[in-house]
Amino acid sequence: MCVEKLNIGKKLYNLCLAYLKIKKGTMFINDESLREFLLMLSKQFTVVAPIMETPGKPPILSQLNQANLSRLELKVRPLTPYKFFFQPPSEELFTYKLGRKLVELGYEVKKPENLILLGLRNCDLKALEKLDMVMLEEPADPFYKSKRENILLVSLDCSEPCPACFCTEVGLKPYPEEGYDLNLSRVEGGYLAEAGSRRGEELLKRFESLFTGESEGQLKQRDERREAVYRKVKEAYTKPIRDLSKVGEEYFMDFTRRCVECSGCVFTCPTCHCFYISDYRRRELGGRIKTIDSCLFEGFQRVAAGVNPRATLNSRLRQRFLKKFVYFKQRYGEYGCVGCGRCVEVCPGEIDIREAAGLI
Amino acid sequence: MSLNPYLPRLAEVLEVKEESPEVKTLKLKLKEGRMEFKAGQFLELTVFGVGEAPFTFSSSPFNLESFEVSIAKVGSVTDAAHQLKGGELVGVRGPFGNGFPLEEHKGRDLVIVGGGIGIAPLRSLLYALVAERSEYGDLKLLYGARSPSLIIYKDEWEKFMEKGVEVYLTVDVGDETWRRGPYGPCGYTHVGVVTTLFDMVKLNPERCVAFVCGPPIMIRFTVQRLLQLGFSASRIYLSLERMMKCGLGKCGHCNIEGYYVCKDGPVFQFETLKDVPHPF
Ligand SMILES: Cc1cc2nc3c(=O)[nH]c(=O)nc-3n(C[C@H](O)[C@H](O)[C@H](O)COP(=O)(O)OP(=O)(O)OC[C@H]3O[C@@H](n4cnc5c(N)ncnc54)[C@H](O)[C@@H]3O)c2cc1C
Ligand code: FES
Repeated sequence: MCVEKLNIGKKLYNLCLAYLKIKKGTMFINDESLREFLLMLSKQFTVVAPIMETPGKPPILSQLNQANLSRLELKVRPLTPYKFFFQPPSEELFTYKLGRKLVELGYEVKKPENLILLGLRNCDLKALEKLDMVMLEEPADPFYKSKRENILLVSLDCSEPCPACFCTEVGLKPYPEEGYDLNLSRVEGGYLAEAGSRRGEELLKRFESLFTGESEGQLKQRDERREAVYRKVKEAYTKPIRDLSKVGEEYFMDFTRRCVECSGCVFTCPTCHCFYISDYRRRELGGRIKTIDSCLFEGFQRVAAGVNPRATLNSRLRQRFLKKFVYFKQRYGEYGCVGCGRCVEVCPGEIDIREAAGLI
Repeated sequence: MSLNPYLPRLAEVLEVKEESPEVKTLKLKLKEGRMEFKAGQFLELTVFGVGEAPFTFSSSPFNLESFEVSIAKVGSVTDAAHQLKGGELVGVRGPFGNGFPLEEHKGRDLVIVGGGIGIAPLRSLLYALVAERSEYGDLKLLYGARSPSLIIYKDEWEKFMEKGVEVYLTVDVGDETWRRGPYGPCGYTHVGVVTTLFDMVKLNPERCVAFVCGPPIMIRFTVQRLLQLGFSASRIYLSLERMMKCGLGKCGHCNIEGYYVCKDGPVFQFETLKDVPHPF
């Protein structure tokens, strides 16, 4: 399947390394050289990274440059999800030109050039894998596919999980093991950098002079830090995820009372993928666009004659929770939630998905 | 297939037929290639400049030269579709969905129950069945519309009867014409909701399978009735409808619990849905 095709490069790369018993190209870069590295990267690529815009608030994704490099935030994960670089809020599917007895159709799959996303955590990488399951399932969405194939991903181990993080409870680790081009792990005085693809390897090579070989001690330190963060998240939870397919609709009423239908949870969720399709027209020219949508909106399932199978807010909120913990799993074999906690942070009604899932 | 699954193929409108004040049937032909589909599958129809909407094929799957959709006028795309004329171009994507599982039920009796525009996919089904008439046992059609003028495919029911289908028609509210029985040879001058037709037919649930399509309330009552008659949930098939956009299992609009109507449906065994809250 296509999902596999996409990851096959990265998987094959790892397999070859294992077969040849070559240790992955792990290198060390100190804090000062990292600054230099990122500065040079931002001159040769468009680098999008978490930038601290308001102290005390979560960072937001922004283009990295010399001026904001000092506000680059590598500890706290950004509130903005990375999905919008792959599934933009609005995207053209095709255009048409209407003539007499003639329709000309056209479309263009743009290829993002030299774009690096920096700062993805394992939850963000796993969220992209889940989006792949939907968007690359045959017939694949060519617009999404082109972005997945071309955008470079530089990920990070989590060093400071947010209070709302619960990735361990949905089966994930707070550090990446695959799916990245380059991963950075915090150690004393700098970062260990590990390539996860040929393109990542090339990046390391291109800036070779800034890196040094890693030492056993540093690898050990990385593993200890990883373990400590894992334990920190894990120990915050004692109850398993409840089987939401077995609870009645009234179970969700308590959340429904607090929901203001803003869809902040949907838009910051790195796995929410639903979209709308509509047409525009100017004289003989027209086209079709796909735009971001939310299953919490009242009209999401309303049909022409006015029938609305999910007319109540309670049924829509239930839909969203079940999509994450029941339906996605039925369809693709894993939860549709990566435990990033963004929806918890953003909700003005203090609705907590962990409470709905029975974790707290 | 195009590398862009959102891109429609062009088709020409060959003919437009007014079936009733609310429904028109468009006969279409692809500009390039042929449309191969199964009864019960659907397509996404684009009226350029307006939008796209899903419609089930209403014609015989054995006719590869052209295909038909029957469209009830209810909103923007359907409104624009009603204004199409022969020779104009539309866009089509598909076929999508699963279709009716006919192979599994060869040799059995079939009862086909339709309400309103829900008769469209069932017409395609009937054409598929009569093309291989000897493969099946008794074929019964129970079809209801709100009023006599809304009964569609008027000139076809007699032909289906000639080909070995028992056709039973009903209307919620009759009128002069209905009382005089214009459909004399091919059915009834019956008045009442479609489920009242069950009183006029004898069904053997042991060897019979039901295919149902219509508005939610009609489906609800029909399923209830079939269960009362002793049909098992796995012998009842429903063709369902949900808001749709992509037809590809990606946009998320058409789900019933964990199922996507566009991919796992639109035809569902009632067995699959019997524990689902509010499937129709
Ligand atoms: C599998 C399937 C088969 C169908 N077959 C037929 C058929 O054979 N004949 C027929 O007359 N109708 C059929 N319908 C219903 C038909 O799709 C709607 O009447 C039509 O989408 C209304 O579009 P509109 O633009 O006129 O209405 P608007 O209210 O303007 O709708 C705007 C858009 O919303 C979506 N939408 C609205 N209502 C529906 C709906 N009921 N189902 C799915 N999407 C909807 C469509 O994308 C539509 O373009 C079918 C629906 C489904 C899901
Ligand atoms: S119509 Fe988009 S998922 Fe079914």
